[in-house]
Amino acid sequence: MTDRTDRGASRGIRPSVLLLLARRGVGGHRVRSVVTILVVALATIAVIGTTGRTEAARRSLLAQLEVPAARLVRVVDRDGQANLTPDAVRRIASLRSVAWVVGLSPAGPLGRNPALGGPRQGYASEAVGTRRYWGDLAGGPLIRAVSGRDPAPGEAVVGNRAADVLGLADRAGTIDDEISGSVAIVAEVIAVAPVENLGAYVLIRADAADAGVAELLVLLRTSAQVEPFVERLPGLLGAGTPLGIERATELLAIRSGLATEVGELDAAVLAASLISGTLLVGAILYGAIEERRREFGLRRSQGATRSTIAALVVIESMLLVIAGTIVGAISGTLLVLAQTGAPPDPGLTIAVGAIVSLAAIAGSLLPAAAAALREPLYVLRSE
Amino acid sequence: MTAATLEVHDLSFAYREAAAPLFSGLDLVAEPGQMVAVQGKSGTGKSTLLFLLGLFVAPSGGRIVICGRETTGLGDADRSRLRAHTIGFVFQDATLHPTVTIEDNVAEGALYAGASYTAAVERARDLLNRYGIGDLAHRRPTQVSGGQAQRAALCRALIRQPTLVLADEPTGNLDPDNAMEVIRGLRGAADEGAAVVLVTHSPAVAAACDRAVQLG
Repeated sequence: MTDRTDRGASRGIRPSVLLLLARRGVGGHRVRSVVTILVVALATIAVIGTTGRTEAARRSLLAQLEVPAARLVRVVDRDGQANLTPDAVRRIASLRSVAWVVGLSPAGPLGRNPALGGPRQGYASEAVGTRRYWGDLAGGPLIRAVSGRDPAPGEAVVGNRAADVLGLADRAGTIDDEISGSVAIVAEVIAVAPVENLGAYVLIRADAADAGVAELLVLLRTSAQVEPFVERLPGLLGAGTPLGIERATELLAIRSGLATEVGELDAAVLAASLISGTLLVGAILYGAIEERRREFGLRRSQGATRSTIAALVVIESMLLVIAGTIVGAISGTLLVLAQTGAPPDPGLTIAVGAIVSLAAIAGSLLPAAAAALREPLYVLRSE
Repeated sequence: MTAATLEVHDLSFAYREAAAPLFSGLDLVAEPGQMVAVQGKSGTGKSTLLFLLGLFVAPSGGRIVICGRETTGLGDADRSRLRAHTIGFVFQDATLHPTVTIEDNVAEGALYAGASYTAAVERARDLLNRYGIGDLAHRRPTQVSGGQAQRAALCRALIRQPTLVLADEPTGNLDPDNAMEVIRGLRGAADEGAAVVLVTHSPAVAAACDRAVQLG
């Protein structure tokens, strides 16, 4: 006899047909499908809701720790052998991770200048010196020009403290420098923490070709970039360069510890949600398999292989789990948005969705194997 | 001489290794076009024999040859392929999927053999019309009578035009008129060349078969 429908006789069920049967299985057992979707959705909401909130709190705390002090690296040529040059300042300034860099010479004494008005009352004992600088001094957030113009090489700006000590009424004038001689002050700057000490200097803009860089102040864009930058420094300045490197290690340690602790909390919540979600999905599907013994037995009698039955159960589960994850991800995102005012990180949402999906699908493997291994003899016989 | 569709040689079966066999030394031959009734008291292993012939369980001893193919030692994939392409089952109750239409229930019988859904549905419609229930194609199993459901189950078993039809009390739950409809359907399959082996308690059904085998 010739089977007219048997065009694919050499192969088993077509994948498109398998998907069709799985969709029917989902639609045909609505209560079980809705319960499974709800369980997966709740697991997803639980994970996104908790990790999303802790992630928001972590981001807020870390943002508060992103103060300039945590992002500043001070490089000092302690023994005068380091290869700190104006060119090194330019190279560092060109790095994407660097927000601001300035090179500084050692401090020198301020020469006498009878034209100055002299120290104001209360500042007489405060030391004021000169320093030459390389780079865009007022181009970052730590030093801000409050009057005057950009200095040309050989001209100077005066720090706010130095201007008070020197009694520069109009924040301009001329000073005598031991190296540069007579130097015109063309602007006043305010230096803020953690470089507020620069406010006590007259800062002379050096010529790009001048030597004498003894210190670098480098402000990174984020504190997370500090350590990688420090590791790159010897390469940037020349291998083997003896350097004194200072950064806010305590602040960075707090930041690192906070990230780790919050990460561990997230991991615990994630694990608990995944395990309970996987067990619940597995239990629901196993119960459903018990109810569908005759259905699977009938399919076996029609020629379905064990692997076809297992695949059918897993595909049905995947359809339910994907639906549940989408519902849960949207609901979890709205929940976090309502609670924190900001949606959770999209990467986090996608990762949680993928992990919950995989865990729930893993929960379907045992029921799928149970369905595949059960022979229909005992459920279809008449005796 | 026509080659036998089914050959059973010295078949025995026990549920447990140490238990007394349900039956032993059983020989059975079914040729194309033949209807063979299997009769016997309850518990003599009639349904079990049918499931042995359907390759769901392995016999304790003996051989089963289907369409000239020795089935001893076949793996699940080969046994499933034989069921998909060669064997049609009819059970005592129709065992239709309650959530899909009669037409889709019948069509599913062809899908595991690799048929496309469209081709299977087309063939299902033809069969339903042939067995007088074409107008019920889009109803659910719960919306048809027991006799109509059993005829649909018969269509499902015959959709692949199997060479061997195994029926386990196919008329057990039906009134005499519906029972005869089902027997006529099975006879139609035999007339087209299938060998039919059916388990029955009914003397009338056994009488409608070409010969009977007594168990127990």
